[in-house]
Amino acid sequence: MNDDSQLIDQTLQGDSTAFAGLVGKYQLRLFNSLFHVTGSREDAEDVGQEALAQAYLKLASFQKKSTFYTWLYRIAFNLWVSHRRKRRVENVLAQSREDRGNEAVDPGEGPAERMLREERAAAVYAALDTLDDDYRAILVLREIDGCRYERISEILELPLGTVRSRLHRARCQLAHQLQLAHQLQEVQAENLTEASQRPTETEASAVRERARETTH
Amino acid sequence: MNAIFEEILSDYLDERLTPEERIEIERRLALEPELRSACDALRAVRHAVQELPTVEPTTDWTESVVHRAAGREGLQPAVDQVRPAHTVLPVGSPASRSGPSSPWRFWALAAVAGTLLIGVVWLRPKSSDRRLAEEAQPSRVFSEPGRELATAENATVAAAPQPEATKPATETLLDRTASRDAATPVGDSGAAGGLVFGKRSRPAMLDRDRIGDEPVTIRVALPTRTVQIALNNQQIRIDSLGKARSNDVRRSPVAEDRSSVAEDEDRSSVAEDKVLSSRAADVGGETSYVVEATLEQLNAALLELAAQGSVRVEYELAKNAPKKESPARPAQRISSTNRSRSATGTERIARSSRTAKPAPAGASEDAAVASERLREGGRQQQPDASPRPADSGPRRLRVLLILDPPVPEND
Repeated sequence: MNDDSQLIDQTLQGDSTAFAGLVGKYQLRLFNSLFHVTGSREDAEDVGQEALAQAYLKLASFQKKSTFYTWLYRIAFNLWVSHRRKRRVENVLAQSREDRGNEAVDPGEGPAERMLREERAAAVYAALDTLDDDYRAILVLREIDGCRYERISEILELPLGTVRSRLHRARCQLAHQLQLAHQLQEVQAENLTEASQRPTETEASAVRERARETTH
Repeated sequence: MNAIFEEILSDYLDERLTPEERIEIERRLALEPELRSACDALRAVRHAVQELPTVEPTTDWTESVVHRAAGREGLQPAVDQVRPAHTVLPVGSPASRSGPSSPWRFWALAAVAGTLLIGVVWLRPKSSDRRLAEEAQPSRVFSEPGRELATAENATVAAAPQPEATKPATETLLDRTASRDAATPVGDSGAAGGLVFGKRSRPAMLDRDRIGDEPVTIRVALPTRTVQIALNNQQIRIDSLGKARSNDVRRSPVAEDRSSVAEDEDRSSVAEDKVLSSRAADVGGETSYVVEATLEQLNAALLELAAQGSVRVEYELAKNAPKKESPARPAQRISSTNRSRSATGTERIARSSRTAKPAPAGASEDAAVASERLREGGRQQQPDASPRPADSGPRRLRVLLILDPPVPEND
């Protein structure tokens, strides 16, 4: 019997501290995945906590055909679908990349390295935000959570073939978005260079003034 | 390069190819720059996403999860009442985010919240529950001891043995989300100090021994999407949640598969369909579906749905159905009023809606008395004298699910 199974049995026997063990074991992983799917710390905490609460209430119905983690994720992603739709109606889905603030920081990292890493991450976040929700969920489960196709299929309740094709499309779309972002950056950099070679407004005013004096 | 072939690149990166396929792809990658470029782009994307920083929640979730679980069961007001003594704070308050809580705190919170809930629920049913119960008229209204409003009048009724009623033809089970199981006596919890939530995760909502042969009907006043999610969570399949009206009751794919089963079973299924069709016709404009599930799945789905809104379950009472017995309770049994007894034989137990309202003035005093009784019972640690409900076996029930009235989707 694995740890989870033991904790589940203990919880069902009335030992609620055992469920606290499951919460402690999975909250970080669940939060991290949900954060990257929802793009918001608040949403990730809300959905994650709600999923754990529902898992607790429905624990007796868990048949252990899948792992507890897969079951928990299925609840969480179903909740997210519901949550997301409600929020859309309320027009409060304004995503805030400011939310993405409390990431763990490597103490040995220099300021320049950190800035570069943050820029890269910001570009990836922006590209992720352009993906369809379904594509983003699959991508996060695969690349961030390291789920195998079979587990993704169980969590999202999709056929294996659909997982495979959507994952590939998600990667292609993300690659395309990152490429566009890179091109945009290059164009902006060129514009900045050109702008720096143009006369400033002060210089232009001085030239215009001299021209008027010459005319008069 | 076509899309199907491109997908093989993803398979390659995810190491899902056979050794032979992998060798073939690597051979082509070496020969075809375009393919190599596409593969590099996919690899870069994978790397970019995998490199995103790991993000951690600001607080330990244990306490919040307890609060939420309590809230779903209608416990929140009771939790709030104990705040001064136990420093239990509402979810989201700054102090509640101060740091991780210990498992003991989890347990203590659950125990205290559960204990107080018992008092509140026993004494204060929601008005919506009373309304639902009244709607049952001229149906007969029973209430299991300890589940509904106690008044001086009906407490007296409870103290006296109830006259044996004629076995009803059908009964309607309208369960109060938390009360039914929260009303489990402290001694049942199997742990010292009070009721423990985990025990309530074995709801005895639909009892195999009490259900007759007639199909079960479930009426739900919740949005379609919510119902769909609850069913999905329990792996209860339905073909669609489109509108199936009156005589257009659908058969689930599972039911359709049964065509290959023995003939007598088919005849039974056809008879069931007739009943379901007839009932669906009766409900007129309401939206109805047919689902098939085990008792365990149904009970779990009902628990989830009931946490969010009104749910009513109607079923024929089985011949020789055992009489419902409530467990021996350390506190005095408090039974509901017998206000709606009639001859039609329908049982109703009110189910609360998702958000419990604060108890009216005077409730806290009643709750305190009940809590004290329960604590007393907890100290005595009386063994569970009640028989456990029979575990749900493999029997599958065909159920008519009615959205009554259908609640419009938000999106």
